[in-house]
Amino acid sequence: MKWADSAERQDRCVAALVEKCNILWAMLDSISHSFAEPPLLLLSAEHLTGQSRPSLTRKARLIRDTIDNCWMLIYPERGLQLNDSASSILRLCDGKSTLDEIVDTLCLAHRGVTRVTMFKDVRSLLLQLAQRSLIAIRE
Amino acid sequence: MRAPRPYTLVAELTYACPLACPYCSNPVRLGSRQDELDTDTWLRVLEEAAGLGVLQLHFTGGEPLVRRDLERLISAARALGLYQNLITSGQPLTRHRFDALVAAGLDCVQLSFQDSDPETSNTLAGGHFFEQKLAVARWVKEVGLPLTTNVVLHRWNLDHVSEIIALAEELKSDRLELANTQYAGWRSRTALRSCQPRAGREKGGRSRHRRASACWGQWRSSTSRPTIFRAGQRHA
Repeated sequence: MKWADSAERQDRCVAALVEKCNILWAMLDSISHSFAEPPLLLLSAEHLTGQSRPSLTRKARLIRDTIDNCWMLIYPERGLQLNDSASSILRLCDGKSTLDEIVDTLCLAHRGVTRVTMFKDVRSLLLQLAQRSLIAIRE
Repeated sequence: MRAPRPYTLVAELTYACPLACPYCSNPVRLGSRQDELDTDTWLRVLEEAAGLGVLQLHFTGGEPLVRRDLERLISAARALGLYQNLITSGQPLTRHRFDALVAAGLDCVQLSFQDSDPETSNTLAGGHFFEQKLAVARWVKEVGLPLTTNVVLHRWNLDHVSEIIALAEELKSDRLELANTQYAGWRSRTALRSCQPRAGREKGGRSRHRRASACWGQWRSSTSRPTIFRAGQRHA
């Protein structure tokens, strides 16, 4: 305050503060975009019907991880470690089978799950992955 | 207790590069090309890496395209099941060789631009590379591979972030990586002196930043360290 002894110098102080705030805002934006979940509004249930034929997109590849003995879904700079149910779903997404057929196949392997529950679970996983462009949906 | 496993191998194949960016993060004291690991050694490293649990492989440098054995390394890595990324300036590369790299098993490409403005980009890179970079970006999308556009940010291009995002969109990039300059101090005395700072920073910082970050939602803004998520679906 001692230093800002003229209107011009006070303006420069304010300008420096404004600049500093802008930098802090930009950092906050970057942090929030790095850690926030992607918006959940891009795709909704009607984008994926029983007749849809889901497949992995070109950038996503299923790789067998022999260290942890599981399947990994690998894509640029990232990877998803899949649990057994996720991997059994994705391995059926060949772009030929419809969602209905995939669900039927899974129901045969998991007798304790109702078809309605299975359909909802599978669709929920595929929509999440489609949002990250890891799953393509064709009719 | 088990030692933490590596998921990613960053393979710096060479420190040779046709570009001469003043902020280059190559080590300060570079060995000569004779000190590079030879093909057989890299083949052994790739195999050992896969054995340790590595799933993702980044070929970088320097400029990895300078290595004539790149096709062979990619083929070998593909046989090991690794997901491979080529981190490149796009130079030197012909369409013919690019197709050969893809056929060998390349999974994705990260292409650097020095700026959205061709002239500034060329000045920073120390040569007329911009057109070639545009061509390489087209090839990547033509064969359907995912494209990451990478730009190192510093005071000569920081005001162009909106334009850089527009360029990435135009190139149909799947990801945009805005990287920090990794200042290693090398060649600072000679190279930095030849670059003149741009006159006057553009005004309106906040609104520009807002606009930039609004577009970032389409690409996950990246960190330098790859993140491995655990995820999956559970039913009863």
